[in-house]
Amino acid sequence: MNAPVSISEILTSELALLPGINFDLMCFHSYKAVLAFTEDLRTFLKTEKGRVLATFPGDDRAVIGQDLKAMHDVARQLIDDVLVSDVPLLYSPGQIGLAALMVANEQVQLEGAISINLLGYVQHRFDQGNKESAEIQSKLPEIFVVVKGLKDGLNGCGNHNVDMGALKAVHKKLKRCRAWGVSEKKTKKKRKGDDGIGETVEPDLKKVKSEQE
Amino acid sequence: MTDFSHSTQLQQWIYTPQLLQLSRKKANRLARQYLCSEPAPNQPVFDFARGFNKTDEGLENGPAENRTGDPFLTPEEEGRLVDFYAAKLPSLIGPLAQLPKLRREVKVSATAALLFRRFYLSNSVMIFDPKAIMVASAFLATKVEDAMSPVRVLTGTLLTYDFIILASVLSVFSMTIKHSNILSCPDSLTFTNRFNILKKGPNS
Repeated sequence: MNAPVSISEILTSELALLPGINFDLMCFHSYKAVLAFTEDLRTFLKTEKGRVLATFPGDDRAVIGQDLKAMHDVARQLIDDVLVSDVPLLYSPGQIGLAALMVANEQVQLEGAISINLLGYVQHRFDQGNKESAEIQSKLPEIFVVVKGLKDGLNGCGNHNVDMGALKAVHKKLKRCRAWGVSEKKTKKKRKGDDGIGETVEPDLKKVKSEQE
Repeated sequence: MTDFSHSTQLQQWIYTPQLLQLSRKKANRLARQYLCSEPAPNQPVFDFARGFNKTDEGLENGPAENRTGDPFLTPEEEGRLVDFYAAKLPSLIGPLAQLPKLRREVKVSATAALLFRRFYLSNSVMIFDPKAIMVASAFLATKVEDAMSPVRVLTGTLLTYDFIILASVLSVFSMTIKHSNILSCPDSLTFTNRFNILKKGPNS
């Protein structure tokens, strides 16, 4: 952060932030879902039904917890991208968690590790005919694509592929039409006068008010 | 602990991509209208994005230029800025924070990013400084996730020891101004009337 935000700015912004999100403060995230699904997979893949879902390249043995670690870790990294993107506003944390596991599974599979049929897992694990189960099965392929697209900077993920040029242009445009910061009139005056001063500090109106009192 | 199936996140804050777009468009239009009207002392805070489901709304763009003839940002350009600042949040707070004092569990940065995005669904970067809102959402997230951090730490870049003392003296000073300001300002009192957190908890 090159220009720190002052305490008064933080506190006033917080007062705007709270009504802006309608005081809905509680958030659920996908990290827990990833962990819970991994834990469940660990036990489920040992059962009769689950055994067929996991395949090792050229190896036939029972799944142990350690096999799933790579997939879990990759999925957590994917969630790091998810949380700064639009995705939490589009799907529930459980759905995202499962999709992240699928993407991670595909990735570790390429590296020669265990491969798990996660769609099969969902079909076997949850009641058929259950409304939510049907919903997640129909949505999973879609979320899978969305989560996969994050590392290309799609869906509002600002961690990758950021076009800094375009961003600077937006910022420049914003300076001329925003309600906060240096007012339009002032920038114009500044431009006529001395260009070397650069950005002026915004006069804190409230502070001035209280000093007058 | 509240169940997700009864949470406001599931019931009010999950959209289709199309609704997201429309909500941002509406926020952009309202901001344009506000910036074209006579300047009011307090900026309006909108919260229509909660449970937003009007597909028939937000087809027009609103005025294209402000009173001095400068063009407004489009919803896409606003989105770019919001994405950028949201992506900066994990480096401000959370396990990857630059300041060791701000290292927190990962859920703190996740909550901060989600609150930040929810705010900009119904509000515009042209009215609220995204950087200030970003830090405010980080501050709020530390409180929501029960990993409180002093607001003073959040203001700062890396400070040397002397500067920390100086900054704390200054911050106490500006805090007192701030509090008296909030209490004396009647406009802010309308906010306090809206602090019905207990009624509008995650269960509602």
